[in-house]
Amino acid sequence: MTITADIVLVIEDDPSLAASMEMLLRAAQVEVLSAGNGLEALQLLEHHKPDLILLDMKMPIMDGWEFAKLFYQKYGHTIPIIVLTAAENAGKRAEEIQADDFVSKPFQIDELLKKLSRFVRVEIF
Amino acid sequence: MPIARVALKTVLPYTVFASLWIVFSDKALERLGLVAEQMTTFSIVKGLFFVLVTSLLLLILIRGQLRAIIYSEEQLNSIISHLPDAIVLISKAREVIHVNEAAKTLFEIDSTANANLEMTKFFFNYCTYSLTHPEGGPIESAERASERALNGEIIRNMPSVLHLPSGKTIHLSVSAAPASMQENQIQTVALAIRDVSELRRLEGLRDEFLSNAAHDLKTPLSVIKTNTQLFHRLGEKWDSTKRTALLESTDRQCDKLTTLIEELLDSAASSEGMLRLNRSSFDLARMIREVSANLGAIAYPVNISVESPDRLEVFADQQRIERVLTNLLQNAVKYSKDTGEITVCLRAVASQARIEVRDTGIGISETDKHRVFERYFQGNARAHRQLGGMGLGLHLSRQIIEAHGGKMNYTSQLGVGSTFYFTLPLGGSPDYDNNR
Repeated sequence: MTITADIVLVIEDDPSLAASMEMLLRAAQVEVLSAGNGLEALQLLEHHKPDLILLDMKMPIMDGWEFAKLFYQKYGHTIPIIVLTAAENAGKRAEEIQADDFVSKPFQIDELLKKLSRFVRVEIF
Repeated sequence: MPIARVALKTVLPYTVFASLWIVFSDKALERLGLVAEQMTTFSIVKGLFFVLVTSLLLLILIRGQLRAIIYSEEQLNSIISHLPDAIVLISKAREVIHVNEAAKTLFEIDSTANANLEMTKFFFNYCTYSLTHPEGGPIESAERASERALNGEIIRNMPSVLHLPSGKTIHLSVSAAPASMQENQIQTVALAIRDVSELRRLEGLRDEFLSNAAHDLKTPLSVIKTNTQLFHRLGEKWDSTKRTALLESTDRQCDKLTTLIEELLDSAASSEGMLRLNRSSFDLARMIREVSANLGAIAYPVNISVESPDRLEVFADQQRIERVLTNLLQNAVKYSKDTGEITVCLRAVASQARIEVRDTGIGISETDKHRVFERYFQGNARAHRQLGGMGLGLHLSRQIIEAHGGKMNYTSQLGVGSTFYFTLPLGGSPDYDNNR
């Protein structure tokens, strides 16, 4: 019997960081979906149902605030959101959009994996 | 005691004159050796003459003092009316008894009407419900600087926000103090009100800049930190291609950080006029082709084309000119629509190289037009971060071009596109001061 991996949607505008995050999550045996901004993420969500969303706040076209607003409007609190931001006061940002948790950039891999493990199956490597 | 001094100055000459008259006029009459009837007539004439002369003397003395008082009042009024701060004088009956020109302009009071009456209505009716604390919430009557000054307090720079009838919102810094007393009671208070809206706006821009700068520095740092941790944990399991790719990506992030820090340092140096150029002769045409090709590769679907002679030699700071070009092109891409066309055009005009970057993007709105070259200014907040940036780009670019003795400006039409252009002195000029 094969257990299918949990899926994490990474919404991050910096392509280099998105690539590194993807590498990290794959190493933790998590399936990854990537979107460069909120709008791309909403389009992806029409066809996919991830188990967790990792959300950057400051992005072009559609930022994290607007994404969260539209996401909750359409899907309610069906998928947990972890805010991943370089802004000062990441906790406050997370509170503003009623996210489930937050991680400040730059982050420790272990800290990120620990927070992820509250919502999805991760393999600590 | 200035009043006693002024009174003494007026009375003393009179006293001296009168005393001398009394002492010497009788002696003079005696010397004339007059008979009794003549003496009476002369005494009456002498008395009348005394009244006449002393009256004239008093008139001259009082006029002199009044002139001095009026002159000093006019001087004070002229100073007050030309002060850049709004000055309002309020009586204890809560009536405005004087406003200067700055106050009329600041509070948009009709200068043809009775300014004191208009200002009284504005100050004691309108302001009661339109004056707020900077952090929000109304300022209660008793809290207002004028009321506190009428109770004997001296207020320095109390911040408040006023929403004018025209819809404009202004940030104020209000100082107030008692201006005149009578029998230990405050009769009038003076308010000095300064419009600090521009200062607040610049402070806001600076805070936003700091937050953007921190954010932009942390992004490449996050990649470096994640990559090094990944390398540490997994590096041994990876093949050499994967290891090289990760290290190259990390290296590029270090370059990105270096560029950001150099921009910050250049910005600080240029604002103090300390930008030191490192000039050499190089082919500007080739640089334009290279920068356009590099950006063109990632700007898709926006198309970048170049119109330029094969070679055009300039004597300039190669690294910084490359940054200016990159910045103008990045902006053109950033503000382009999907089907955008960008043209970079290089020509030699007289003894100058003229470079134009034309785009078919969203253009610049009228409200933003005068702020384009302002430090920390960000055009469209929503487009920010697409290609990074701290709002230093255009400000710094212009400073760099001006330090070279060139000029930078732009033309723009909303919805049609913008053209940014700059000039640089042509050719190698070894006589030119290398460190201008």
